[in-house]
Amino acid sequence: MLVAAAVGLSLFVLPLVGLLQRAAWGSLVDDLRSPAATEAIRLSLVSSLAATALAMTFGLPLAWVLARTELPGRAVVRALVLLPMVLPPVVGGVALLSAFSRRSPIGSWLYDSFDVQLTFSLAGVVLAQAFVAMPFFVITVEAALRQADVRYEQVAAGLGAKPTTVFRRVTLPMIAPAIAAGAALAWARALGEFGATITFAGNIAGRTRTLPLAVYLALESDPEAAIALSLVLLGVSFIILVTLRDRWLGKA
Amino acid sequence: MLDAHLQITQGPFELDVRIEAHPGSVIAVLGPNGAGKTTALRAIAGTLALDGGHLRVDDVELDNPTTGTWVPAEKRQVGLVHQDLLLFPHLSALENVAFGLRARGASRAVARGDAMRWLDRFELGELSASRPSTLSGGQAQRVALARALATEPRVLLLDEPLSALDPATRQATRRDLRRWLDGFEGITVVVTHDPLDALTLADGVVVVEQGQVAQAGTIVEVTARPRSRYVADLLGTNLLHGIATGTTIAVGAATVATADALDGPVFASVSPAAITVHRGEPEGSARNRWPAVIEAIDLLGDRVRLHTTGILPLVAEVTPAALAELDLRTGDAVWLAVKATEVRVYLR
Repeated sequence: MLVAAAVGLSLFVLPLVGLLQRAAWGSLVDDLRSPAATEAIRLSLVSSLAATALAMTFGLPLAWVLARTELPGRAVVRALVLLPMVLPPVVGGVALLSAFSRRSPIGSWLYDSFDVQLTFSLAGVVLAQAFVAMPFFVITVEAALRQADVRYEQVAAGLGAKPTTVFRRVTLPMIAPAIAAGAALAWARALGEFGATITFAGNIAGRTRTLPLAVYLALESDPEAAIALSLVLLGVSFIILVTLRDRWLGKA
Repeated sequence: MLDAHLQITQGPFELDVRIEAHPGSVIAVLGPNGAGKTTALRAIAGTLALDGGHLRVDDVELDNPTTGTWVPAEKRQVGLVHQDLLLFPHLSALENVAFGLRARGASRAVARGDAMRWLDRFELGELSASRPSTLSGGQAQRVALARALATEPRVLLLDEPLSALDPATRQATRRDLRRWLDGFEGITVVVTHDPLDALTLADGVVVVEQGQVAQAGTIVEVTARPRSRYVADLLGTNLLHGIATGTTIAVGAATVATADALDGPVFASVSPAAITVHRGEPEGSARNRWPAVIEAIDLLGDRVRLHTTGILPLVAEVTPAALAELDLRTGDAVWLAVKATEVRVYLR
């Protein structure tokens, strides 16, 4: 048992060790300062934060509907929401392409009416990231809403609070930790998004080339830079995991 | 005026209870767990709809399935103090009390000012910034009560207000609760499984058993004349009001010896079953003995309740066999005796 566990663990540890070992620590800062790297980091930050905001804006009502209403077909809605978590991202990208490309009805309507093109644009990157990241926010918040004691909301109503006031002043503060955790998870997932982004939004320097895309590209031409950027992503993931340790790793 | 006829069906369980109360009065809804007390409370609070009957407060209809009237909880002037108190954990004591005032449209400053006065009234001023998790059971109880009263409800509902407290705090809180409720002009409905809460807090009582009213009336009526064995066991006690000095209580012209030393105004309760009835003055260890005259004899199931008059009017309970053996009849002179340890005393 212990041996098998050790083999299992090494599967996680060895790639990390390899990455850290091959890092050119001396030129790390310079590698990250190169125009290509800073551009990718900037794009990644902007797009992933926008995607997180999008996931929160629409994920919160969705979580509420899933947790608190007796909507018929709720199981189907939940399955649809969670689908991007198990769907290969590249398939997600193809699906987004089919729905929103300029040749699709929605895509052409958006382009003709609002001059908005989602494919091969920053907006497309944000949409692709939100597509894969939102489920993480929704399930985290939905679980918190289910666990929250509805009697507090009844007390608030009994004290004369309108439903909107109850939600704003009682429900939201009580699930605030879950909202923060869900947002962090969604952000981490958005930051690392590759497959759906490259399929739907392409790989255009300065417009849609986010960190993971830049890593993939640099692997051919400049492995050192690829490793430096990988370390940035690794660091961010690690920090998020440590921040959420109470929730996801237990307090042991 | 609270005029409630609560009919609710939940699966095989059927609740059918009438509760009527006047402003300023305290009504206890008494019954064992599962009798439907909390269901009744939820129907008044507005978290559960009636299936039949009606609910009116001050002649305003709040719920009536026949006419389709339904006023949601937030528009009823009904305050509920839950058994688990349910203070908002993310708000301070002051913000908890201010919540209802804010929700009803008061400005932040006015709400906080009012809330502070309520906290002061409940001797909680120093704890205004404390989070509920740092308060003791008794303090949290008072914050919850202040929060409910701050919105000036017409009806105040207390769900098992003392059951979450430890025994020592319960004693003190029971006394304080009585004092605070005395100043409340609305109607108070106390739901409890503990007869003592009903005896010490309420003016009237509705005894509920399996969803139905077993008996309703003033505390004096119901304790003196329980109509069923069940009610007699629960409430059919001798409730005495007196002044305690050590282990003696002065009740009118009579004195009652007790085992527990207390000083000041007290309630004492003596179970009718603990009182022995004698033809002549009894000898023995019982420190309490009074002459009495039998005024009425009630047969209740397998027991007989003797209503007596004398310097201390008491109800004694004997078996039909004892009644026959002593050949007791209305108008007979007897002696009553009770051990000091059988007299339960509570500070008033």
